[in-house]
Amino acid sequence: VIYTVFCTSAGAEAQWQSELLEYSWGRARQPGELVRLVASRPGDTLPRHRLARVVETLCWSPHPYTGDAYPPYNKAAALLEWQFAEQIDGTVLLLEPQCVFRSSVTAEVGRGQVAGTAWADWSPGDGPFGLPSSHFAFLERFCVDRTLELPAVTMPLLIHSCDLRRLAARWLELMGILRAESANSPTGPLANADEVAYAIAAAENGIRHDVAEFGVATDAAQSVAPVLDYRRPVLSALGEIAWDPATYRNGDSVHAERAAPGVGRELLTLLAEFVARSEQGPGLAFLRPCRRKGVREGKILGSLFLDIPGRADTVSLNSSGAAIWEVCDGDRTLAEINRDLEARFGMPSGSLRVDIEAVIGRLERIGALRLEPA
Amino acid sequence: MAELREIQLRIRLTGGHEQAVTLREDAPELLAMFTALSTPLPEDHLIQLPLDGGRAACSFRTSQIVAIVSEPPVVTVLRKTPVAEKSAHVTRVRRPRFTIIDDFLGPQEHRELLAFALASEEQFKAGSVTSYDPDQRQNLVILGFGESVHSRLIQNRLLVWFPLLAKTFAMPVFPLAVVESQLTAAGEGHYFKVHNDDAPNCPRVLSSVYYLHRAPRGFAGGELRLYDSIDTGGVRRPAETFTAVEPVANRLVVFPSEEFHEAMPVRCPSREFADNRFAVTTWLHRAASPDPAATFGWGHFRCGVAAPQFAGRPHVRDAA
Repeated sequence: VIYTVFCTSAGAEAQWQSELLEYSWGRARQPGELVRLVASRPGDTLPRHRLARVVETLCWSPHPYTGDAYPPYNKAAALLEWQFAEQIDGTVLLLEPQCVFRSSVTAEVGRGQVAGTAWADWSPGDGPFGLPSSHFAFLERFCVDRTLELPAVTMPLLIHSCDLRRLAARWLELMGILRAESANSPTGPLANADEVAYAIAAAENGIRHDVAEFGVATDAAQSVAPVLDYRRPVLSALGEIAWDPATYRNGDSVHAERAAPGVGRELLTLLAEFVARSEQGPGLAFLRPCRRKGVREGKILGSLFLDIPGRADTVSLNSSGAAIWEVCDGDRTLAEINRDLEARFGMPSGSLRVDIEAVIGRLERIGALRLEPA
Repeated sequence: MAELREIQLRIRLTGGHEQAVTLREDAPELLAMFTALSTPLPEDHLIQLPLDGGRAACSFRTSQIVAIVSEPPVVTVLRKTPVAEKSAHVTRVRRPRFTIIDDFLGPQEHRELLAFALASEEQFKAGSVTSYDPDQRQNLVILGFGESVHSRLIQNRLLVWFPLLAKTFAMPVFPLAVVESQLTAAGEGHYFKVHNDDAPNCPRVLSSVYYLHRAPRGFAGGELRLYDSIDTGGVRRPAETFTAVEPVANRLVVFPSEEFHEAMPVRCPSREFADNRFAVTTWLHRAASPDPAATFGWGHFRCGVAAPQFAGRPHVRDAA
């Protein structure tokens, strides 16, 4: 199983990025599960998704002990919490939220192996871990073996859940140390403490890393990488900013033709398609309800019961629910299910839609169904 | 010590039902079932037996047990039953709260800590509780270990886990006063009888035990037993039943300090110090009043106050 995982805050600004990632995940027919880890504070409203499972985690930015505001703390902390709570066993595809799928990732990795994107900004030196001693000499005090070679990879990366579990706490700890120790330097706290901390934690745990072409930035002319990272603006053929993720607001119209041909234009084309789809409505009509693996059904005296993995109780469906469940075969879209049931019960067009969507939404929430793009 | 036997049981239940199951002779469920048979309890209890290697479970109530056929025969010495006392108070039996973190440190950090323990043989002294009591505790300890650089490896990592552990135990993140550490060595015959770590004058809230030993392991026994607790009118005491945790190298066990626990006797045939079961015990003390200036671990973490994002947090919340 491949778990595609990304972490965000609970703020509204992360929602369109998360929905775009979700849309591209479904469009690419990425196998496995999509998980959004949400670093939340008391009182935050958790976002909802059609395809992604939302997991609430503790908020670590600002750092609870140093007060340092640095969003990557949330990533390592959320991964630590998620792995600790769920103890999953499988391949994890770690993404930044500003990523979309161009195609599916099907390769899995075993324990002790990681495949990651080349770390372009990696700058070796003569200090601990082969880092520049001018900036990293302090690591001598906090790391047992400073001779380890660091893996020069970054996200997106594929890592086994067991390895993620082993290194996440150290990743989070080192990030805090790197930021605190560099806070008084002329350039301020280390901006890429996230990448450096990950690399040290991975090296200390003896996890082998291979470079793979997983991610591509918007300025590339072409690439076979399955994931597109749009943290940088998309440029026009004249080198001007044609689209900037920092200023884009959800629902704004997108002009793909303004971008230079290449990966940047591909992103804007996808975004325009996503915006158009969003304008069509809640989007349920183009989704296919599929029964989740492991869900078992049984009939007792004419009543239908569902046994759902992870739930202690069985779920009883009434006759309407059972009729809907029976047509959720993974082939029919919600629109087709509406039509089939309306014909079967002789009801006017559109009269059952609200009820059917409510039942399917509930079956999705309790883990009996997942909604996949048509 | 004799090997623990596997006991094949056929449990006959009311209504003519029968369930076959195999349990180790020290399984708490075994004692609970025989206790229920011999002394019907005023309150009915749920028994859950693992089946098919833990992939399934059989659940029934103690009042449903009619008879138990065991092979080989089991003669259980039944001590006083946990809830047989007549009292005006409601008596509750609660499972211990604990969590296990394997691979707590990196492999090199673990090796470094073990090397430190092995090189520190001269510094270990006989461990005491409030005063030296060999009936209660026998092991060797470095009391000042908390001041060492090596203790910071564990303390700093534990502080990273702290908010998550608090959430796991459904307790608020509290301001810290002290992070206290001891390094202990348990050799042949060493043990620490049932106790808990909190006391009115010692505000320990969370306890953790980090295990280290050389490989291959030169000792047997030494498990940590975490006891169910019986609460009668606000007075807590350990039950007879418990959960055992193996002392595996590089494993951290964390539990609220109020939980009753016991370190079982260690058997160390070589009697060599290097074959001992070593453990770093760390306690997080709650501060009576917040201290924003207090630093912990490597000195970066100001844990003398609870962070605003954790203050007043409802700690057990379902995700959507």
